[in-house]
Amino acid sequence: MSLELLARMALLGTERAPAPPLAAELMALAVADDPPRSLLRQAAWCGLSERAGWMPSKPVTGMPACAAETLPSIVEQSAFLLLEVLAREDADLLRECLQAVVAHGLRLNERMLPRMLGHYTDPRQRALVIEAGGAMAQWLVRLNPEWAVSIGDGGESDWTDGNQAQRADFLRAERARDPAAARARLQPVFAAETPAARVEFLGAMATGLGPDDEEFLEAAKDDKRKEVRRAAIELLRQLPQAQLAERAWVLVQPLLVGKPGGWLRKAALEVRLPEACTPAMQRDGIDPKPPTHYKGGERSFWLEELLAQVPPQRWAAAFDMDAATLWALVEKHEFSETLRRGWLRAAIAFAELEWAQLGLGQAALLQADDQLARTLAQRIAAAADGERRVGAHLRAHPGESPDLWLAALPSPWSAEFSQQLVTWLRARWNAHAAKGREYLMYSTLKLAAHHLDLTDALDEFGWSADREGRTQRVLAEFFATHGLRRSFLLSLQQDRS
Amino acid sequence: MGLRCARTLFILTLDTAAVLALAPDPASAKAGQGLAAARHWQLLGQDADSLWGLCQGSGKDPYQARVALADFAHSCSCPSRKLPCKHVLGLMLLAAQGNVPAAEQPAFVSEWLAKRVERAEKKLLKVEAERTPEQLEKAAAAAGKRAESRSERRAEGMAELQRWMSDLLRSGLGSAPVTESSFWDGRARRLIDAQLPGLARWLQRCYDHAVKRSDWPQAVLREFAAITLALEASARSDTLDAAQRADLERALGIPQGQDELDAETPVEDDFLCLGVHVDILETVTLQRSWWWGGRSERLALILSFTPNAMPLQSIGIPARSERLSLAFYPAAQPLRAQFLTRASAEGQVSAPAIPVRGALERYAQALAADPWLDTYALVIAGRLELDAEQRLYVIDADGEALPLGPVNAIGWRWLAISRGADYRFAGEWNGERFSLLHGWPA
Repeated sequence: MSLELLARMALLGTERAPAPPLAAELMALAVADDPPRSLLRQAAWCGLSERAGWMPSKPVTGMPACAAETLPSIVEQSAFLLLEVLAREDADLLRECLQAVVAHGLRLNERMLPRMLGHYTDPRQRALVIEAGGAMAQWLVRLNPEWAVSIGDGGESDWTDGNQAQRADFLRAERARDPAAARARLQPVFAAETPAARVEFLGAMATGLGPDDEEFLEAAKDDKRKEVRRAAIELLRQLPQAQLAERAWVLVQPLLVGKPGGWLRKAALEVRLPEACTPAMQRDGIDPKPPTHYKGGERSFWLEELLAQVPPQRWAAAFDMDAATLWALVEKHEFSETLRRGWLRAAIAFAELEWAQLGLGQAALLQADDQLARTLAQRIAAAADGERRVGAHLRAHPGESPDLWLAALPSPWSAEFSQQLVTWLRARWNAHAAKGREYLMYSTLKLAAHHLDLTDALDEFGWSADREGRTQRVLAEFFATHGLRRSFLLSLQQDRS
Repeated sequence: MGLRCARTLFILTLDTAAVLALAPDPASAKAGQGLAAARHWQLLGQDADSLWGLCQGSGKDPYQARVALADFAHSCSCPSRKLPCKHVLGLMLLAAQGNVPAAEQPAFVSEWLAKRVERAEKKLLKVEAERTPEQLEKAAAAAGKRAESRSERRAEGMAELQRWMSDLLRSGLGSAPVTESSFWDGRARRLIDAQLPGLARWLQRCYDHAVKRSDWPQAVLREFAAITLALEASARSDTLDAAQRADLERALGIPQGQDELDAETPVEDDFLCLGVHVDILETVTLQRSWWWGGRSERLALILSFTPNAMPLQSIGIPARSERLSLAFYPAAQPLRAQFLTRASAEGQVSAPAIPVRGALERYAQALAADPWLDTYALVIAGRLELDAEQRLYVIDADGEALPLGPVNAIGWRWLAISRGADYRFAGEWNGERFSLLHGWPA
């Protein structure tokens, strides 16, 4: 109290401020005719007695208690490895580790939780930390609202009260269980949602998509907003029996005439381009003007769009030719680019993998269009026998970068595929090394290190590592990353007794 | 079996986090983690005293890394200037994970240990080199002269500071450029030139107060109060006893030499390290470690200043007990000490926790003995709690608390470890705020 009075005097200056009324023991410290020195002496007394006589505070707190943990914590060894993962700042690796902790019915130890919660800024990633963090994570999030992630509990309230992302998640989950119920839930409110929400909910409709959705999508196709129309058409284009495909078929069928080969006659494919982009075509999502980067005229663009809306197998049936023959005809065709793109897009949309895989020989096309190539790779890699298909493709095209395909495969890769891939990678690496071009493999090794199966440790022998510097580091990093993933997994499986 | 044996030997005393904390920089920590796999090592082993390994580096011969378990002193034959080097870190990490088998000490370890003991003994018996009486006399005269000139400069410096403070208060703090760092720094530099770095320290804090605190006039006046105490005490230093004079000299920042240490009556005991505070300053890194003697019931403070370019020496690992022989510096209530010897403790000393009120009384006693006391280690029996404004407190069973300020990373960490349950928390109390050092389950 007295120090406050003295401070006020110090602020104004002893020349101006009047001497404050002080207790007798403080007055006794005053020095005659020297107000500043008196002030200092009195402050010295006050400062010291303030520190020595500090009274404990009685704060008002009301902290909830932390619930008891139901899951065992990871062992020290795992925690140690996780620290190394954190130090690497490798988000993919960290995500895999956290998912593994959850999958093993374990939780992170409390010591590292606050740091990990602070480490992630992306709510989805933080949600994973919270999921892996047991009761302690829930508690910390309650204490520090900054760490909170609004994760829905999957219940009905997510749909009625959740934010857009939660509602979309809810819809997606319901689509997986019962597509009709989810559609019935969305239909009455759809028009009243914001355009962004309409697009996102249509994205959720992709789960469990079926012929019954056509009516709803046809209605959404006439939406006021272009992005919503596009999203609806995107889905309609995946329904082989839909009216959309039927309408396109009627328009495009007369334009292509296939002539099967026979005695003394080569197979041929005659192509005419559409004359106009009719209003009906426009309603089905075909733009009269091609995008600016489109190479080619508007008529060939219309043809590509129409082709993309028709299940490719129909052509094979209509011309009585197999897919391989048709692709062969396209090879040197006047409109090869248009035909390839149209058919590949259709193959992606209708998930006709055989058709797509045949088109994969068209390496030039894949290089020309990243997006199409990526979608195609994802389609093929996501199939039940994706690894087999990707493997076959890699063997058939050893000159191409495998990254696109490998990245599209679900992680982790099977033991069998991993084994074959390592052998293949090593051979390629050594071949490149002979020409001093290992750098072509840097990104591939990084990718592989993150997804290779973990049953066995990688064999470090047989890899050419003559070069110093970066090449050696990349190779070492490849083994280290895989080794770290494997050690972490093994540490989770350790006997906990 | 060897593995299990190694665990009991070592893992109880050191965990990976503690090892990583020893790393001089993050790069070393990472490199050390990279070497914490048995495949990098040709020979690995440990016994009760030491830990060793041979690691193949880029040189012809493998590097010899070794660690003395008593005080985690280490040595490695690699040329790295970072200490501990990545090899030593890797080795300690391996040991902390329990992956170093027990083995017979090889020669390169036992020789090193023997040399260490020899060096330590020599240091203890630091005898004055023999000199002739004339030489001694001459040296004493020169030293006396130097001391005289130093004390003259100090007296001048103090008189000048007194005048400056008086002038400042006469015209008022409000009309001075208190938010300009040069205002305080210039004055502080003059004090350092006048061989009064201790007084300079208080002035340097004033700038921080003036720019950061709303109640800055009070905070500044508190620093002036400490300075005034020192100035007034200096003016009457002939009335002080030797111990009080030592406290005053420390406050002024007069360096205390090794020869002032009370090495005659060393305190030998098993001490628990309550925690280590590290402050990276402009040119040096300050480390403070606080120790509690199990039988002697004495609190000891070890200070270490290391130039920033130099590797840090470990002056304690929190929660680890060591058998120490300490020499205390003279003081009314001796607190600051130096290691004479460090060895493995016979048993683990437990942290002496008391309620807030009792702890504050201890602090008041220490303050009565040394009014310039800056921080003081307390061990509180209580739990951590947050209030509605996210301020952290350690609260004892009576509901009395010490404030820790807005919760920070360390606070969150200890909240998580203690789960909000009763615990024993060691920390530094500066009269306003409690800074956590370490904790133990109640």
